[in-house]
Order: sequence, then structure tokens, then C-alpha cells
Amino acid sequence: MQLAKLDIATSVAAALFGAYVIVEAILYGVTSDIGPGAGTFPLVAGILILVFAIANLARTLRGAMPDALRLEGSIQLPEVARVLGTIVLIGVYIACFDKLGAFLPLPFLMVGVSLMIHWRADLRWLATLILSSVLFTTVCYFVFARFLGLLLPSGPLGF
Amino acid sequence: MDTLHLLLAGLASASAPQNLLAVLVGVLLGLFVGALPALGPAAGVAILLPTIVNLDPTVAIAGLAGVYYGAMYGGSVTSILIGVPGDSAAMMTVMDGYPLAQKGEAGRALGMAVYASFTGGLISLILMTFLSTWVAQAALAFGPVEMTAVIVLALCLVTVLGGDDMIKGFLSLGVGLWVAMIGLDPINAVPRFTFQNIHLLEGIDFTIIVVGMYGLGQMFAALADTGQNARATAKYSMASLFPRFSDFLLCKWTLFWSSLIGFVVGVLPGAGATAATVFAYASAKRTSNHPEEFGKGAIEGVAAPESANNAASYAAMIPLFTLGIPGSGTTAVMLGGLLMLGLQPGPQLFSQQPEFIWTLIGTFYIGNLTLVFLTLALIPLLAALVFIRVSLLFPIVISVVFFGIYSINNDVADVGIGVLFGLAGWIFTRLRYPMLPFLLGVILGPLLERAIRRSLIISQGDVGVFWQSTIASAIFAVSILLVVYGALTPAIRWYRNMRRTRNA
Repeated sequence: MQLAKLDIATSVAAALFGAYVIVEAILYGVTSDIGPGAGTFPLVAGILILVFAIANLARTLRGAMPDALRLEGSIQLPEVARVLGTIVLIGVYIACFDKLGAFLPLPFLMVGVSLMIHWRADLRWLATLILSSVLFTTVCYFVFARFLGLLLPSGPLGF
Repeated sequence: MDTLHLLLAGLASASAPQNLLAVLVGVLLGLFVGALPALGPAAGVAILLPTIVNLDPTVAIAGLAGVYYGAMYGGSVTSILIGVPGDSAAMMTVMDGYPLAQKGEAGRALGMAVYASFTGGLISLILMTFLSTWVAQAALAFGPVEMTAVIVLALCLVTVLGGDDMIKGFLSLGVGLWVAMIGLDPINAVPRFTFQNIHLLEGIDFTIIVVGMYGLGQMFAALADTGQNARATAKYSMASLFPRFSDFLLCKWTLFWSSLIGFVVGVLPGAGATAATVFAYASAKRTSNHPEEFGKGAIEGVAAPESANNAASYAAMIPLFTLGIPGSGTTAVMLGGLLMLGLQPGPQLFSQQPEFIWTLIGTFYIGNLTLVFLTLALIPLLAALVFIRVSLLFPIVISVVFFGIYSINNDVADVGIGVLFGLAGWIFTRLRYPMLPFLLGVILGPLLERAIRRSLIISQGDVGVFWQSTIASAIFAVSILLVVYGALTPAIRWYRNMRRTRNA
């Protein structure tokens, strides 16, 4: 997707969000007996968001954006796939966290993220990934569980 | 004289083994973070932030600060040897450092970078030592009205000077202010934007936001590339890695003025170390006897940005410690660390916890000196770091970020929130929304709200209270001028371009 188009979409979303914040702020109460109410500052934030989102949208649509600020290029599908893939893997790890413990699924997450970023069907590369993941998981265990004494869930293997 | 005694006492307690160890570990990590092109000092400090929770405050902040100024040293090594700046503040060093390395004079450039970093750091530290006390004493007289004015000025400075796009800066600030308002209203205890979720009643921990935005967000943004780093073209031998003393003498005035420029720019919230390097480089070129050599391997072209960026990194800590207002992304992250440890930075810190603050300043002096030896000793290793594949590095970052965020409340839901902010950080970076106004909105939003509401409660709702104080009025006037300047500059530039095009 072109970055300029994404910027337009983001500005529209921000303007709608700004309007929502303003409405909520008014519902909280802009004034009270002792001065500004709970909604005063959200109102300021909402106005800032709405006004500047519209300003950004207007100058992008009018083509009035200075050259130095113009967004060139695009976000390619592989980049989106890498980012979202990494997030999905973190989500899977979070889901396993309580049942399998913090450290047992960690090497899998690390290898998964590595392959997501840079896929290579190469046994030597895979061995490097596995080794570095296991090594770093061990480091994490000693730093976070032993040294810093973090309360982490244990898995079926006791760690 | 009093300040000198406090400094000496600070240096003595900074020499305690635990503080020395914290400085050593911090600057070592900082050197590595600075040398890695995918991570900047803010990301480095953010990733390590949650790991300091259980440490002694002095040890923790000395370590974090070590990461910050260590990264300033580390960034220059890869800039010079392989033309890849480790962070944005090392960008200008590439201009002359890399050509010098290509000519086989990497040692000259590296020696100068280390010496300039040390000089810039030392000059800035001396100024910081004496100015901080003065600023803190002056700020003690500030009431809620003056603090409101100072916060408004800081937000305006960061938004107008902090990025090249003021519109996106203010939009970013608005979103940051909104995030700060999630949770209970500080005066009336009305739940705001909690979406009936009990976890959001206390708001979102700043550390989670900052670690997500910087730690994960910048990493996601780096995935735009295929994830593989540039390769070196310059060759250097170990024998060449020795500085020349004659260069130090040649650059003495460049070092002095660049350090001063770095200090002044660094103190201003929003301007940052990168801007300081640009100003210092331009000034060095303008005053040089041979400006034509700049960009082709002038040794002053290495001295100027390196002294400026280190001077700026220490100077940025002055508004943080004296007013509680961070001036850069990294100091914003450090503020998160201070708050996490139960320390409220501001003028009271100097009067109520002088031992903490002077020990910390003492560790800065020690760290600055330690970095000279460490950088020279680790140059080959730092240069090799740039070849680490991001596909190996990022899973490590993710693991540290995960455990770091989890450690804040021992709650896995926080990691999910951190990932969401990572996603936001990615979008911010790709669409060139400045992150600093957002972070300052999150940090300073609640302080600003409390200060304004307290002022209005005291004045029984009279808005005129903000103009009754001369100091506050002057600061508000500067803020208004700044915004007008920020709005008019692009308009004037556009008008000039139009006229030029029409005339052509």
C-alpha cells in the first residue's frame, strides 16, 4: 500500500477518533463546581486530534505537502506479513505461557520469529537458529528467573 | 564551592563497587546498542527499563544513563568503519569518518571520535554540574501556575522543534494526551476511556507504552528492509586503530565550540542530539580554513558531530532532573525509569535526595572516562556487531521485551498492550509521526492537568491566575511565539518557493 494513501486513511481514522473523544469528553462533564470537570482535558486532546488530523488530511489531498515531508514509497506485503506474523507468534506464545511455562516455548518463538524475518531452507542456518535460541533461553532463565527473581509460570518440565 | 564539595562527595560514592559495576555494564551495553544499526539509545534504554525494577535507584539509573551515553560512543564506530551509523546522532560522523576510513585512516577518525566524545561529554558535564543546581534552586520557587507554563513550553518546544512536521507533531501530542487520560480522573475519580475494563482503571503503565513503542515499534519498522544489513567496504588494520595527537591539537577549537553547541541544543527540549550534530558540523565547516575538504575526509568533520552529540546527551538530562521534563526520546524513557523506582524528578530531587543526584552525576564523570578505554579496546568487536543478522537479533529483543514488560505487574495482559503499542510505533515510524510529542503527552499530560486544575481550584475558577505571575506570563508568551514561528516558517518557505518558480 502506498504510504501516502495509508497516511490519508490514518488521518480519517484519527479525525473520527478525535470526534469520539470530544463526544465522550462532553459526556464526562467539561465544567464542575470546582473549576474544570473530568472532561475538560479529554476535550482539549480530542480537539487537538480532530483539528490536526483534518489539517493533515486536507494538505495531503490538496497536494500542499512540502516536498521534504511528502511520503514516498509504500509498505510492501512482505513487511506487513513479517510484522503481523511476528505478532501472531507472540500471541501464540502468550496463549501457551500459563500451560507450558515461560521458557519451554521460548526457543520455538525465537526460531519462528527468525524464520518469519528471514526464511531460508538451509539446515546450517536452522541449526544456528536453534542453537542461539536455546542458548538465549538459558540466559533468560538465569537472568529473569534466578537473578531478578521474576514470578514466572512453570511448565510440565518444572521451568 | 558548595557545588564542588557535593560533586566530590558524589564522585566518592559513585566509586562504590555496585555503582562502578552498574556504570560498566551500562556503558558496555550502550556501546553495543549504539553500534547496532537497528537499535537506537532510546530503544536500548526502553528494552532494559523493566529489568531495573528491583535494583537500588542509584545503581539502576546509573546503568540506564550508561546505556544512553555509551550508545553515543558506539554509534560512531560503525559510522567510521563501515559507513553505517549505529543511530541517528552518528549520521553526520559518516560524512567524513567513512571517507577517512576508506583512505586507510580509520585509526585517526576513531581516535578523534573517542577523544571528541570524551571532550564533549566532559565540557557538558562541567556545565551540567554547575547549571543544574542553579536551575533546580530557581525552580523551587515555581508554583502550579509556573509549572503549568513550563510544561506548556516543553510541549510546544518538542512539537515545533522536535520534528520537521508540526501538524503531525501536534496530532501525535493529542493522541499521547488521550492515552494519559485513560483511567480515573485525578480530581473527581471519574473513570475515563476505560471501556468498562477494570485493568484500565489505573491507566496504562508508561513503561509498557515506551517499551512497546520504542522496543517493538522500531524493530517492526526495521522489518521494511529484508532484514539484512549492509556490508563493509572499508578495510582497516589493527595497527591503524591509533589516534594522532597532532589531530587533537588541530581540532581544539572545533571541539570546544561544538561541545558548547551540543550543550545548548541538548538542553532545549525537542531539539536533540541529531540536530546538535548538524549545527556543529555546519559551524565547523563554516569556520574551517579548508571547508572544501569537508565530506571528503576532514578530521574536524569527525570532531564536530562527535563532541556535539555527547555534549547534547548529558545536557538533555538537565531539564529531566531539574524540572522533571524530558527533552529527548531517551530522557523520556529514563523518566519512566525514575518514576518506576518511585523517584519524582524535579527541583525537589536536588534538595530532598542530594546523595542520589550527586552520586549519579559522579557516575556520569566515571562513565565518560571509562568509555574512552572501553571504546578503544572494543573497536573490532563493535565493528563486527553490524554484521549480526536482524533475524538473529530481533528474536532476542522480543524475548527481553516480553520478560521486561511481564516483570512490571507479573501480568501477561501487559505484554499484549505492549505489542499493541509496538504496532502503533511501527505505524508512527513508517508514516513519519514524531514519537516524542506522543511520549511527552503521556508523561506530562497528567502533570499538566493536575497543575491547571489545582491552579484553578486555588483561584476559584479565575483563569486570569495564569497571567498574574510574571514568570508564567513570559513563558506562555515564548510558547505562543514558538507555535507562531512553527506555523509561519513553512508558509514563508512555500511563498518564497512560489515566487521563485514564478520568476523562473
